[in-house]
Formats: sequence, C-alpha cells, structure tokens
Amino acid sequence: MMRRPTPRFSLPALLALAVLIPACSKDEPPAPAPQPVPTPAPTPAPRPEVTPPEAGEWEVADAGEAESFLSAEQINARRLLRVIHFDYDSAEIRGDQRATLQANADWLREHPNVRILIEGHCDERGTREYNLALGDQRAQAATAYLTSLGIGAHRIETISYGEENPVAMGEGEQFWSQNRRGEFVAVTSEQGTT
Amino acid sequence: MPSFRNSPPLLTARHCTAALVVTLTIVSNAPAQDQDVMLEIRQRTGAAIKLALPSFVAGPSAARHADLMHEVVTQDLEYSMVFDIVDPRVYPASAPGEPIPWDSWRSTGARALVHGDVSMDGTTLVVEFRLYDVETGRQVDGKRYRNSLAGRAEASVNYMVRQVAHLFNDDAVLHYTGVRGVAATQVAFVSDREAPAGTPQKELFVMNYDGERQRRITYNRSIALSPSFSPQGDRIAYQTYILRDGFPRAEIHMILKSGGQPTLLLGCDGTNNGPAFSPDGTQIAVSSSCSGNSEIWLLDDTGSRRRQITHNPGSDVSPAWSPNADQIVFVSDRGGSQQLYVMDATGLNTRRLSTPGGQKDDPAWQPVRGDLIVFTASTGGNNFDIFVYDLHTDRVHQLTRGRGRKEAPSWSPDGRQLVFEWAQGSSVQIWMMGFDGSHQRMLTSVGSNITPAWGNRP
Repeated sequence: MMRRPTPRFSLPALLALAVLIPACSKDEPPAPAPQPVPTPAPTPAPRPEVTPPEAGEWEVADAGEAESFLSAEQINARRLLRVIHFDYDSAEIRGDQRATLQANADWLREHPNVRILIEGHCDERGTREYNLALGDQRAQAATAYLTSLGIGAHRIETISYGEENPVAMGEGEQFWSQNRRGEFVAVTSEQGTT
Repeated sequence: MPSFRNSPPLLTARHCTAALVVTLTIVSNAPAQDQDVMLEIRQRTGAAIKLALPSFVAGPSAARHADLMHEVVTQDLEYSMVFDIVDPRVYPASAPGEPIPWDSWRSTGARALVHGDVSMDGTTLVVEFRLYDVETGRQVDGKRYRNSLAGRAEASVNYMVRQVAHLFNDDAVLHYTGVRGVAATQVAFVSDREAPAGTPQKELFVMNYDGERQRRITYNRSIALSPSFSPQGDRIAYQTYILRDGFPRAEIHMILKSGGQPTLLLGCDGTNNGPAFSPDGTQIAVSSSCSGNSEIWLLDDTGSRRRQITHNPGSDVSPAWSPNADQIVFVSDRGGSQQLYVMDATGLNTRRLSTPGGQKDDPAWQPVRGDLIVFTASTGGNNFDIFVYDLHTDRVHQLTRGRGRKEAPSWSPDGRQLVFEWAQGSSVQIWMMGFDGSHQRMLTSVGSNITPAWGNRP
C-alpha cells in the first residue's frame, strides 16, 4: 500500500535472492536473473495483440550488509524509526523523548535518501477538530526538532490523524498515553523510486 | 422575520460586563440565569402554536397506515419546535362528515387543527391532510397525496407512509413560520460500521432526518470526517485521508449525495480539515496547514481558487459562515486556550466572543435568523456539552447535560433543531434535539457514528 510496484526493479525479489544465495560474494558475477520457462506452443497461432510475458531487464546490485539495503516497508516493519510520546494537550517535545528523536535523527543522517512522514496522533479527549490541529502541531514540533538536528526539511512530510487512529482502545491514562504520539514512517528508501 | 443584518454589532462596550455575566452562568451553573437566556431566545423564536391533532379518519384497509401516519406526524410536529400539541383528552368528539364543532375546539385553546383522512382506492393509498385555523374555522392548507402500494413490501409501504407524514409536517411549519420544516431533510455523517476489523476506516453515510434509510456514500477504504452539505443538498464536502506518491494526505474532497467519484477540492501538504459550505454554495471555508500551521482558507466549489484569510501563529480551525456570508466564526488558540472568534469573510475585523471556561470548538451559525452560534465546550474531565451563544445578549445557554462528549453540532436548515455527536464510553452516536435542548433522541445504533451535518432536501 505504501509503494507502487515498478516494472523493472523489485527490491523484495532481490532480497529474496540474497537470502537464497548466501555464498554469493562481491567477486562473483551477479546472480543470473530468473528466466521465464518457455512454454512450447504446439500450434503457433500468432496473436499479435497479446505480448508474451517477459522478465524485462533486472537491475542487480550487491545486497551488502543487511541494514544498508532496506525498503521503506522494511524500515517500518523493523521499527528503525521510533515513536515519541507527548503529554496531555501538549505538542512540546518532552525531555524524556529527546533521546528517541536524537536516535531517529542519527539514523536518518546515516540513510540520507530515506524520506519520512511524521504522523501526529492524539488521545480521545478533546474535540475531534481540536485533536486534528493538536496532532498537526505535534508533527510540526517533531519536524522542527529533527531539522534542528540537521535533517533536511525536504525529506519530511507531516500529517495529523487527530484522535482517529488510536493504537490502544480504552478509557484511562494507560491507553491515552500510548495514543498521544508521533510516528515516523519511512515512505521511500534510498533505493526506492518516487 | 427579523434579519441578522439588523442585529447589533458584535463587539460593543457591553462585552466586558457580558463576559462577567457569562462567567457566572457557566462557573456556578446558575439555572436561573440560564433560563433567562433561553426565555429571550424563545421570545424571538416565537411562542409555540397550540395545535390539535385528532386521530386520522381511515377506511378499513387503511387503518394501519393511518395510525402510523398519525404517530409520525405527531412526532414531527413536536420535534419541529413550532407547535405545542394540545392534550388529546380535551378534544371534542366529532364524526367524519359532520360539521366541525368550532366552539368546542376553541375552548381547548388550540389555534390550529389538523384533519387527516387515509383510504385505499384499489391498490392506491390516498392521503388527505387539512390544516384549519380554529379561530376563523377556515382551512388554511390542504393536500391530497396518492401513491400505489402495488407490489410493495411492508417496510417499503411504511417508509412511504413516514415520508408523506414528513411532507405534511414541513408544509405546516412553512405555513406558520415562512420557512419549510425539516422532516423531509437528511443528515450526512461518518461511520465505521462497515470497516474491516482492526482498521480505523470510516466512510461517509447519509440518512433521513428520522434515522431511516442509512446508506453508505463513499468507498474510499480510508478515514472520512466532517462532512458539510451544499446548501442545495446535492453535494457533500468532507475530509479524507488518501495516499499520493506514498504519502497519506488529509485532503478535502467533494462527492454528490447520490455517490459516485469524489473530486479533489484541496490537497496541499499538511492537514486540511473542517470544510464548511458558504450559504450560497459557491465557496468552502476550510482549515489547512498548507502555509505551516492551521489557518482558515476559502476555496471556490471547484477547488481551483484558494485564498488564505487568517495569518496567525495560533491554530485557526473549524470555520462556519454567518447566514448572509459576510462573517465567519472559527476557533483559535491564539489567546492561549481554544476560543471562539468572529471575523469578516475577508479575514478582517477579528474579535473574540466572550465565552469563558475551557476549550471551545465546532461553532455553527443559526442559518435563518443568524442570532445564535451553537458550539461545544469542555465542562470538566472528558465531558463536553453543547451551548448556544446569543449574539443579541452576548450570553450563553447550555443545551446538553450528562456524561460524555457532545460535539460537532449542526443546525437544521430551518434553524430550529440541532444534530450532534454524543460519545458515552466506547459508544458514539448521532443525536438530535430542539434549539433549546429539548426532545433529545438517538438516531443511530450500529457502529460508531460521528460528525453529522444537516442538509436540505435536494
């Protein structure tokens, strides 16, 4: 859902290959791209309007170290960018959340092509419209913090979900505190296409 | 009919004293103060018209339809906030065909009398309504409706019967107030009832004023929020989340009430929300963080032209139009907490409405007289209640009470009723009530149902 498949290049397929051929080293030629099994056609009736399936040209690159070659979905699934939390009715970056933001900034600095979306979320208290604005302020505050740490603003987009997308359902601080959050979602990886 | 143009300027020297009065009203919750405010509002709205509604005359095969029709008309007239139904126990006995005993009707105090006659003509249901002025004994309105029942299931017949009752109510309200009643109108809202489990998806729905025919409009498989009906009742603007180039965006879309393909009105970076159609349907006010933080913007109804009208470091959200489109009420935290502000539709002459107390949101301007602004306000804990701000007296009246969050109020097109969202525990449902908080009733029950918007019948 987050990425559009591209016809010539598939990162998950490459990663699957890297797993299947662990002996593959840098000196060896790249693994051959899988070829389609030719289907024998007993009666060669030409149907020019139908193009036969083709593998196309596979771009092949070294998979390298596990961490250096991640799709946006892998970055998100492995939670390499961590969630921050907020106080009730506040968009201020809490002191105890700065280390998390610093870690996110460090990671983004090491992965300079990753573009991210910062989502602002709120607990259910307050009106829906207010929480949309509050979530927006939370996302903006997190953006400002990351840019102050040297992350380019052009790599960051923001959105507010207000109270509409909670992670914990229930009434009480143990639920609300989890829902007052900023999520950092990788949208395109360094190898991703836009 | 008093026009909003004649109302006093909003910002006067009286504001300081008014603020004090209102403070007392809310903080001490003084019921006497409260009642005074509503008394004044009621005086402007006009006293309820005493109306008598004896059982409808029915042919043997139409008795069931006549009973349902009488029940629905009774309810509609009560909810209309225009009529006060005279106790049936004092009605004089009279048989169909005999002259109406006007002297006896006059002694009941009734000003209006409704006669209904329901019969079958083959497979056709024939309904006659007559509205009489008791004082003169004259018929002031009367309609005959015919509709074929052939091949209709019982539910479909009942729906038909309800509809004709609504049409009569709306005519009766029109006769006495000059503004058509709202029983045949509709409400747009957002529901998660058909969302796959574990997803936050919410889609746009529409239902009739009485909760009948709840039907889904969008199939975005995303979160829809905050619909606003065009004044013609044919289009709905709403907020939705949509994926573009991998990034989800909070966009403003428009869709025909009949469904179909939504069109994009505003999709700039950041969060775009809270669309509000202008009274003539040519513009839509929204809040958008296009320019960095939430500001009020105006769009044309194709989304091709847009203009930012607030410029303030605070968050400006939840815009709503005055009935003659020259002013916009909105919510801002520019003064510290979330409060109501009114500005000219040009963005100039911004002034705060003196409503003390906690967080305010969701203002909506009474659409006919323009003398009231309904809004929701924090009443402690996670409780929110619906209030009206009276622009004539600069005072506030509380309409709802009890536990939970009541928010997103929207006026009926005739400005006499309100629809709103009430969250109690994990259940959130759509409710309606009169402009004074009376006749509170729940319209939905399946799933969570939020952010209602009342619309004209197209």
